[in-house]
Amino acid sequence: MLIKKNSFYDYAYRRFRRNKLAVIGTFITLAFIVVALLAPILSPYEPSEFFFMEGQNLYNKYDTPSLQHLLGTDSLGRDVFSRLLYGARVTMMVALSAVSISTIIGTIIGLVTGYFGRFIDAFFMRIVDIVISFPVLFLLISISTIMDPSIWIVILAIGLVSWTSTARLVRGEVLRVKELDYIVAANACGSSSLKIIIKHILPNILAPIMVQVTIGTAQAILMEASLSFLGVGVQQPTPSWGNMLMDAQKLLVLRDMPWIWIPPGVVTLLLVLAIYFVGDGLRDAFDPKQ
Amino acid sequence: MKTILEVRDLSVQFRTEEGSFHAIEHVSFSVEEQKTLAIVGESGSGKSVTSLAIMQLIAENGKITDGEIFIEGQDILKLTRKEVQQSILGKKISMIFQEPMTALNPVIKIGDQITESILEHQQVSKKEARQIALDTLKQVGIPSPEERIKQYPHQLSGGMRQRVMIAMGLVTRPKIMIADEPTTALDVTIEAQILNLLEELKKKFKTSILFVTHDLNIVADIADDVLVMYCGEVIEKGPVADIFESPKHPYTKGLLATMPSLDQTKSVLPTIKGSVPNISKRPSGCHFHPRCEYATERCRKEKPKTYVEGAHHVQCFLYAPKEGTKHA
Repeated sequence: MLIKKNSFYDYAYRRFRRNKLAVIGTFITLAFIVVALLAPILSPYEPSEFFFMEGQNLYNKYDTPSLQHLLGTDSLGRDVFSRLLYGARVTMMVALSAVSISTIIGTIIGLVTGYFGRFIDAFFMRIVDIVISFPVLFLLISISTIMDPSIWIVILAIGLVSWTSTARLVRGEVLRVKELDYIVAANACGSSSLKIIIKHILPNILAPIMVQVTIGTAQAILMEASLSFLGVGVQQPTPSWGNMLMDAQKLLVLRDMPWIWIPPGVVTLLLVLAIYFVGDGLRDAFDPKQ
Repeated sequence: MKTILEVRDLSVQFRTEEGSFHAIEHVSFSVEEQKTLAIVGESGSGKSVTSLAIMQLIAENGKITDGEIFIEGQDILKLTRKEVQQSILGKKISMIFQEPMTALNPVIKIGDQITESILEHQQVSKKEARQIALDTLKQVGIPSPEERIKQYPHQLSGGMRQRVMIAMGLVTRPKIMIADEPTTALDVTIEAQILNLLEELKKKFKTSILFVTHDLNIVADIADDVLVMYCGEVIEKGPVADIFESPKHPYTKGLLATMPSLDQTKSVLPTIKGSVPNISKRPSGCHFHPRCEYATERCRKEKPKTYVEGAHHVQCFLYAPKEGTKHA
């Protein structure tokens, strides 16, 4: 078995398994991941393929759902279902990459500030304050107007503004753990600071970091969706759930063509909710008080 | 007799919101090769601060303001943090903690925790380190060490964990081990086992022990010399027999009187009236005067010097030599 018997993670796994919502959330999330990975096989068309009206030289725009186009076509005559499947890839790729960036930055800064304290702590915590008070949307809008908007900029931007909560969480955990006897004991053995941080502190605070990673992923998905909806996120023709929702900015689409905006909206909601359930489940499972 | 650890005039100050206070003041003592020195005192007497100061593990708001700490003649306070980590801590001096339940890292296997100190201080391969760890575990009386080495701390009982802690402290063959109330968290039968083990290992590895405790029964059992601390000061020190048979300081006398014994017929245990004053409100003169039945006007105003008689030192005016004679 992957998890060692009777270890902390073994107990946590058993508690997690008892939590129905968390288990359902896990399965939904896994299903989305599978769909995203298999998008090229599952989707009937290319996501950016334009369709024409039969026998005419006109784009087949706003077509209602049919056997040919399961979820109809969008404002440019592209297959909504195919875009939805490929959108899952983009959305998850953006979210996971952004979370990786924010987790790495946040964990390093949290470890350093929490362990060394004093000046380093004061300095980095003021940086955190500054980053938190940044108007993210305006920052991104300005970035996307200055630079060529690309998916990498979206990832970088989300990652660079969302590390603060991880940093604060990790810092707090380090402050708690570093006073514990076994860290003092490691100091008494003459271990170096770096060794104590990496070998003794980090493994003991992995659980809250894992919870933060799940919650952070959900938040990154939402952030990507809002940015793309406003046109400063993932750019056409690359499909993402956020920029598929852009069509709903037109009143006509919003009122009369629900097949265009309900699917991306629902999948976003479903995936975010599922990930939150997983996060909550992890938090409860890791809680030693349970 | 070779002196392993010598502490001279050590003072440690803590900054708090109410101001700066000395947790210990002018503490001096030495530990000889293969001897056990016991530091006794109530909570707040500074006994733990003394041991932490030697290990340079004082909390961030604390600072050694004065004094010297010699380990085999080398003043470790003059070394850089890195030098202390490399050549002193865990190598020449190691520490056994009070709580075996919390002093082992819960996510690291026993074996890795023991070998860490070896790999840090000795030029050996991982395999050799593992063998040393196994041997040490055997020496501290852990059955089937090959299995234990792969286990996590929570899979061991309290007594077992304290044995592991001792193994961790011993694995680099330090000159001196500081044991900060190593048996307080254990039940009495295990306590006796651990104390016997420490005695045995001390002889085997020619290690000195600095034993911090508030339990006088343990002191009588294992110590060669005793240091009595009160309010951050050494008020009496001397060979264990002297202290127990002819205690001098009124506080030491009081402490010894509080020890219950089996043939005692009294139903109420004697106590020392009052309690240890808060660090911010230490009395003037002799810190013990408000609780002392022999206190005089002089005790309130003036701090007594240390008076020496043979190996027995006491900080109390009752033992002041008559005017004109020399004192230390």
